Amino acid sequence: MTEVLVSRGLEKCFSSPGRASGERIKAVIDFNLVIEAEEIICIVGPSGCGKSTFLDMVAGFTEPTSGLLEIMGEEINRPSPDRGVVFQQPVLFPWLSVYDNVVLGPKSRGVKPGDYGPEADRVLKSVGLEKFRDHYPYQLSGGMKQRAQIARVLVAGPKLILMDEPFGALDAQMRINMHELLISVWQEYKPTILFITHDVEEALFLADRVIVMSQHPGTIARIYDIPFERPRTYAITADPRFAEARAEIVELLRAKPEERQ
Amino acid sequence: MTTSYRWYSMASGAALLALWSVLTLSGLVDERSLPSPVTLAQTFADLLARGYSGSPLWSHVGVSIFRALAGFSLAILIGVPLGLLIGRHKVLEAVFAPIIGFFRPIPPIAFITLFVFYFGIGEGPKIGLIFMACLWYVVLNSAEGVRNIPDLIIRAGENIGLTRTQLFFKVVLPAALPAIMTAIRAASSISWTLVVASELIGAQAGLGFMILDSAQYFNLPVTYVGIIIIGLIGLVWELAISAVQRRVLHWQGK
Repeated sequence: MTEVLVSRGLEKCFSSPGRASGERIKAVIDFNLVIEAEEIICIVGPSGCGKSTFLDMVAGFTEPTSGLLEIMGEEINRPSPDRGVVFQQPVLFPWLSVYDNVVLGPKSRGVKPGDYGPEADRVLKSVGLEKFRDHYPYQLSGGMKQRAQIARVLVAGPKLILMDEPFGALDAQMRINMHELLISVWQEYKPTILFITHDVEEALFLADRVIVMSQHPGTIARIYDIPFERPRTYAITADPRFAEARAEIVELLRAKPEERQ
Repeated sequence: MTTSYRWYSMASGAALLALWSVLTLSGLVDERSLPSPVTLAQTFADLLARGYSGSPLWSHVGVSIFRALAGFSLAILIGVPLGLLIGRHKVLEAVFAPIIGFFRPIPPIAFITLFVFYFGIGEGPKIGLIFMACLWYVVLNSAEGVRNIPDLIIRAGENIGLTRTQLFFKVVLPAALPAIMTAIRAASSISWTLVVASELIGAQAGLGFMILDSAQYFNLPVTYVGIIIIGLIGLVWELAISAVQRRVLHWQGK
């Protein structure tokens, strides 16, 4: 298997304005993870555990304080469409149509219209937005905006897709639709996905491996292999192994009494 | 405004016109201090036919529009890029903040005499005055527009692989466009306001000159006609800019 992302001894510290000078908060420490091609990895953890900090480093938005972070053997030092991000908020460019939002990246990189055009049509069809290509973001529902973001990421043929609680703001029914969409997109493109969520069921349904993070310090508490076959359907949520894994992870996520404040 | 409320607006306008007609035509108010609508219509026809102070009416209108547009356009051409840069670069912001902070609160009319001293009584001081008054608005609003762009939109631009230059032209500029349009609207109304003030000094043509000169000779009908023309042009200009704004920024606030 190809190693897509390698994180070794990764650490991220922030200096905090409220504290004595020199004192730094360790947001993420000793983060060791290898993501292989075509894997879907979900990271769950309480808010403030450093899961978004990790994703920001992988995206190249912030630099690690120390440690190794490589994509396909290359050090990550800046944002790139190789690591396309689907943001939690519907971050589309409001002055561009859905189609123009999708092709802005390839167009700006000098890809020829003959190449990005058909690719954009294909990804828009995959996410079910082919009839909405000329709509503007303000004319789309919350779920459709997230589909457009997924299309914008897919069109670049990324090495790794980063999803930062992408369905957190959607209602329950829409979230289920989006999970099924993501599964079908995965079947079609077989992308490698790093998915951050605080929803344990979402993680269990989507992931090959679920990474549970602990807080203070923000690091990996445990990694669960999720054995369900692909393509998955919602039927697996009724599987006793699903319930068992969920109970175990929820238990692990519950703060220990001495850490509660 | 909804249709039902539009009737109230039309009614209030009509009532004002009716009150004015009744007061002046009945002789309740002396014609010499407040001309009637009929007199103004005659004066307007007369101005159209024979002009004012040796120049046709359209040239007075044209000169004023030219001065306002020249000052306004210069302020946009220089102010928008400057504002965008100031909004994006902390160093430039620090350099310009005290300069703008000092000059902005000074009413531009205070500079009229200085401008005449430096630039004479030609077009220079008039256009310069309008330019300066518009500039601060344009710079500050554009800079503010850039500062208010959400970080995530910038990140999304970086994430799809835009270079710094592409990020500026394809993300920062369009994202700041609503603020820039607001600045343009404000500047257009400032420029039209100031053209009259600037023509109060050493002008031989223009609507401002016309109303000042006629008032000095107690030719009030001409003064009133001049003021009404200024008002109507300002209104049309404002409506035109809002129409452009709605078209270009159809996505704004949605």
